Amino acid sequence: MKLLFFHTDGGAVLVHGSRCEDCRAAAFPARRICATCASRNLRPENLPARGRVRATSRVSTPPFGFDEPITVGVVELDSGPALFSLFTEPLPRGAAVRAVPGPVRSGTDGFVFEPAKEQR
Amino acid sequence: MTGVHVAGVGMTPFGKFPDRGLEDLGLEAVLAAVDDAGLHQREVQAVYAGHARTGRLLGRENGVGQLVMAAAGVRGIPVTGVGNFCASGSTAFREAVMAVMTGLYDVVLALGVEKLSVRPEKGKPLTSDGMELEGEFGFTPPAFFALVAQAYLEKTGASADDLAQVAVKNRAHAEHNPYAQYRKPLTAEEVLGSRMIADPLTLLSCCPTGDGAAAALVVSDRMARRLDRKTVRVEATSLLSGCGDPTATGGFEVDRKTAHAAYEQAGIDPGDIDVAEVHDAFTVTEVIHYEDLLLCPPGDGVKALLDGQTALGGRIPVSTSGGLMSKGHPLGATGIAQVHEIVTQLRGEAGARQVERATAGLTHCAGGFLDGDVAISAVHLFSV
Ligand SMILES: [Zn+2]
Repeated sequence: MKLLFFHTDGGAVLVHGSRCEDCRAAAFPARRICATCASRNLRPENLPARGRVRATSRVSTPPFGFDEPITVGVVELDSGPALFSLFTEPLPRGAAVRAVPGPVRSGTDGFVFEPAKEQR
Repeated sequence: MTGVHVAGVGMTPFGKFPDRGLEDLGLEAVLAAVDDAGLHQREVQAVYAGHARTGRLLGRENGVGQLVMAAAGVRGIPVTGVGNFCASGSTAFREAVMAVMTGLYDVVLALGVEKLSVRPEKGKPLTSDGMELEGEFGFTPPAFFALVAQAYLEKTGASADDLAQVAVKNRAHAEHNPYAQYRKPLTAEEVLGSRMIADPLTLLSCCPTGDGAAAALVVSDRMARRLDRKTVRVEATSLLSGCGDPTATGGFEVDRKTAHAAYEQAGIDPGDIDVAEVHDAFTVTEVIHYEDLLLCPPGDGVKALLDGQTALGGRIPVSTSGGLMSKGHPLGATGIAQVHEIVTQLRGEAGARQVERATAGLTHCAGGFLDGDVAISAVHLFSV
């Protein structure tokens, strides 16, 4: 099993989002109508899964499909959208992160955010 | 347009009742509400029934209201199911209020019923509908509100120790509420020392689940005049879909807008509210709700809590019923149980947990998730 809304390119994870041709707002998941300006003029766009941590939380009592404690959080992608995701470890607000391939619920192939090595 | 009044309320105790069905729970609440109003169930002209998880857990996605009313010997009237996540009961109440407000009916029943003790994933956090994508990454309600808590604590400089006082306060209130599931006092050490769920929220920082039912009988001016019972006026009904970004802001914009609309509708100043039941599904949310519902100035939520302003005897007691924290959260029943508490308070019938000279009250219930926010906020205002 693999999540259908991303692919990897040279080790980098790209998520399948969209961009508004009118106000340039990016979105993930992909949208048909812009959430910012309500334009219908949107195109699919692959968004690099890189950004900054908004908040993370260590989940000691994980839900079904996870055997071990997990860290979840919200990342603000450099392209704009905020995304709920898994993290390799708890991280402070503002930490630079990037997604790497890794298992999600029930071992499905997905991605997990880890600290980004170089500062952009 | 007619004024709208609550003429009767009734509820079951909240708890874990594995041997009781939806029909049985719902019937108890309905009969208690009509008896309270001094009406007969056959005088009810329409019913709105809130329930959120009965489909997934009990194979009854629709028809809970019809089931309960048939058990009460009432058929051949309009009965409408209302699903709106944790706010299903609040939304059923709102529909009943609007049905009376328009002049269509004089006597409408709002019912909420839920049975969560049958869920197979006991010991795991309750999941939420429609979160398939986020669920792949481990989304649960406590995890989401833990992230909101991180944002709130960072913004205000408050600590997890501060938040624990919500659970302590609400449990102290519950000691005096026979309908509450948990009534034994709690200490902050117990709250903080309980099993960690999602940092910073421990088990006792999260409301328990539960089974139960609650009902409210909503009537027109004309019917209110006819009744002997002291009625409570519904001053505002306000409900909006999510529109904020709480993990970024540490607050709920949708609650601010919903509350603002309610105060405007009622012509009531937030400072005039004497007692409130809010959606304390997690310790942190109660404190944020003080601010968003304008029960205290922005940024002063923790101060209001620690100063005892929101405890019984304080300036604006919140969750006098013990809140979701102590009653548990049988989703569809919760919003109407909040109405039950405020009506009981405003009639001066709350016994040892009575707020003195309470003349105006508020209920607030949020629910569900969509796009990084809650899906719904519902606020109702009441007065005598
Ligand atoms: Zn746009």
